[in-house]
Parts: sequence; structure tokens; C-alpha cells
Amino acid sequence: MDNGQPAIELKHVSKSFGERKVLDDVSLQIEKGKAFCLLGRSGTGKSVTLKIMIGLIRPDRGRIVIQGNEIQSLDPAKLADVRKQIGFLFQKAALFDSISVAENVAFPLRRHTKKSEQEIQAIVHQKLKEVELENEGNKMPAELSGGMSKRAGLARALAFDPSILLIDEPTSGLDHITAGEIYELLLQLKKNRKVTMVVVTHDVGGARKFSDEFAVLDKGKIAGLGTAEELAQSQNSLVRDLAAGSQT
Amino acid sequence: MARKSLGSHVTGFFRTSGEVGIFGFRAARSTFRPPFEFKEIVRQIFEVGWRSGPLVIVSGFAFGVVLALETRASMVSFGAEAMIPQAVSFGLFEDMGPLLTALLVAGRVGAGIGAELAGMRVTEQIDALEALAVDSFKYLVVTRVIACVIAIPVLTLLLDFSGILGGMAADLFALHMSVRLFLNDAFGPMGWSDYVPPTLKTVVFGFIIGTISCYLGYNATQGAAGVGRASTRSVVLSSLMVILAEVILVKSIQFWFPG
Repeated sequence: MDNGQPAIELKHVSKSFGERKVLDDVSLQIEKGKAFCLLGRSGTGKSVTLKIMIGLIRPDRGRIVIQGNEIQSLDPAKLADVRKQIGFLFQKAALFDSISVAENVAFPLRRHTKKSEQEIQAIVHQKLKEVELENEGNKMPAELSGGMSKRAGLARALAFDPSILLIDEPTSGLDHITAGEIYELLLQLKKNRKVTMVVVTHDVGGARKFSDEFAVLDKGKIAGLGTAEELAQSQNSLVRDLAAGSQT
Repeated sequence: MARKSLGSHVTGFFRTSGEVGIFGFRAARSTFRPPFEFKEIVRQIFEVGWRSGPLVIVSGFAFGVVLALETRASMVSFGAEAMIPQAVSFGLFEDMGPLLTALLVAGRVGAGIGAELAGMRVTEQIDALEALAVDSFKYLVVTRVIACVIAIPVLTLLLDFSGILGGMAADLFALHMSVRLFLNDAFGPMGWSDYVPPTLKTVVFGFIIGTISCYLGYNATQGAAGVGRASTRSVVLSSLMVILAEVILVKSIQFWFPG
């Protein structure tokens, strides 16, 4: 499986919604085990790019290759197999609100494994402990704060020990301290497992703690690509401004 | 301008009808393909059927009382009071019972399904299901449509029998008719074609309610406003389509099962 191919590859991907072109011939390569950060102003297609990566949105043109699998050509069963290797943390966590936090984490395990109830409970406890929510498992999602919801969503995304983690705005709407805790969690994930991460964020400062590479999306195209320092030297003022945002 | 607006409304109606039709066809086809979500189907039957039970029973009882009292006035003038039990049973089993049940379910369950799925759509829970490698259509839509199809005939029988009880209670008080005589008069003249086809037609009502409310919820957009719209439109469209289907089915049943 590991033959040097990138974990995620976007090749000439374009996507429009009506008249509005969100992505225009975007190509990206994200190496295994790297943390990649997508930056850009609001509405520039960052979340759309994440959803395209996991096949939730179909591009109008282009190819998406995840660990060697071109996902548009996969049948539903094989696409499901690819998705099992990907954890997705949604912007507002998207926890299933009719079941408890622990049941949310257990949900993919119950659906896709033949593990015993005891094993599932052990995994759920371990995942909740990783995100410091081991005492909140019986709560309903509506009872959680914003930061706790994000961490619970992360626990669910980690239930399968995915090799790829797609994270949409992990710290939006959170205070600096809670945001710092989330970044610390992501840093630990990167250090302790070799998870490939793609993170959409506006907070370059926080993202610097764990990101290896940054890309700036603007007007449907990649306006800048490189490390935070490289972006700060860019000729493009928007790219520089976004990188400068890291200093504040 | 008004003409264009009318034209766009007509186009929109046909487009939506086509989309609902394709959605329903997809749901029907998916029913017979694995994975079969048995646990979720049972849960949905509980939600649709069991939780609608009290509403259906109380409404049926009240309807039976009203039917008996209303028909009594006409029957008395013809000296045909003995026909009241038969009028109640035929009125319930053949005509109003299935339709009344479907409309009650469209109001309670249609709104619930529309709002629940729309809420899941706008909070990305449906995307989350897909991201967790779950076929959201099978898990959310097919299970609810099956639940409606199974639950509504049973609810119809519940409403019919509670209506008979209501009618009987009214007659016992008004005419002092014996229970045995009432039941004999109510069910004696009934043949299987008087209650089996009308009850089974509610399968179609269940499919309509499940499909329309799932379609509107599953494809909802625009946040909280979209949730409210999906909920309201689920009730309105489901009820309207059930009534239209009733017209067609009544004629069909009369044709295939005359007398």
C-alpha cells in the first residue's frame, strides 16, 4: 500500500455552484503523515475542497486520488472502504443529536465492525479519554459546549484510527484557551500516530503549531503554497496578509 | 411578469413532482438491496406507529361517536335506526377510516420526518453519516418509508376499531342498543372486499407520506428557515397527495371489487 504515493491528490479539480466558480483547476498533493493547512478568506471553497476529498461533493472536473484510489470511479462499497480510512471533523461537529456522545463515538464501530459490546465500550472510553471527555459520554450533544462538541466530533472521527483526518475549522467560535487545547490535541495526534491531516482554518498562528505546509485558496485557485515562512515572503499581498495574521 | 411567475410555478411543480417520483422509485428499489437496516426500521416503526397510536385511537373513537350521532338524525327520519351500526362500520372501514388515518399521520409523522431530516441536513449530520461510510439514503430514507408503509395499515385498523367502539358507545347511550346487536349489525353485512382493499390501500398512503416528507427533509437547504419550510410543506404536500390518491384508489377499488 505504501509505495511512496501521496495520501491525497487533487488533479485539476474544478467545481461551480450555479454561476459561481468555487474551485478552478486546483491541483494539490499531500504527503503521508504530513499536516496540511488550507487557508483563505471566507467563501473561497476551503470546506468544499475538504468535502470533495471525501466524495461528499462531486467535482465538475478533475480527479481525486486517496491513497491510490481514484474515488470518483469507485463503487459505493469501495468508496465506503476508503471513507473508513478517513476521519472527518465537521465545522460544527455534526454529532448525531438523538444519541449520546458515547453512542456517537460507538456508532461507526457498531456499523462496520463485529467487535463485542465490551470491546466497543473500551474503544469509546479510550477515544473520549484522548479528547478529555471520558466523563461526558452519557451527555447528549445539545448539552456540550462548543469546544466539547468539537472534541467529541474528533473522538468520533478517530474511532476507526483513520490514516487521514480532514478537519474543518477546528477552532472557529472558540476562545483562545479552548482553541489552544484543540491544537495541542492535533499536535499530539500528529506526533503519536502518523496521521495525514488536512485542516481548514483562519487561525494560522494556531495552525503553525502542527502544520507542515500551507496552501492559500483565492478566487478558486491556489494563490500560495509552502511553509508559513514562505507564505510570509509571497509576492501576493493576500497570501502575505493571511500569513501575517499568524503574527497577531 | 405575472405570466412568467405562473410559468415558473408550473415548471417548478412538474420538476418537484418528477424529483419526488424518482426519489420514491429509488427508495422502493433500495428496499430490496442490502444492507437491510432492520434495527432502524423497527425503531422507525415504533416512532411512526406506536407513538401515533394514542392520537389515532382517540381520534377514531371521537369520529365514531360523531358518525353515529350524525347518521342517527338521518336514519331516524327514514325509520332506519337499525342501520346505524352498519353506516358506522361501512363509513369507517370503507371510506373515512383510511383517509382520516393517513391525514392524521401526515400531520404528525410527515411534519416530524420533514423537520428531523431537514435538521440533520442543515447541521451536516447527513454528511457525517456519509463520511462515516454509511449510506444515508438507506439509513434515513428507506427505513422511514418502510415504517410508514407498514405502520399506516395497522394504524388504520386501530382507528377503524376505536371508531366502532365510539359509535357503539354513542348508540348504547342514545338507543340503548345491546353490544351484541350493534356488532352483529355492524359486521354482519360486511364482506372481505369491504375492509381488506380499503385497508390495504393505505400502504400507498404510507408510501406517499414517507416519500414526500423524506424528500423535502433530505433535500432541505437554508438553515432553520429551511427546516420549518420542509416541515410545513411535508404536511401540506403529503395531505394533498393522499387526498388525490384516495380519489384514484376509491375508483380503482370500486372497479376491481364491485358490490
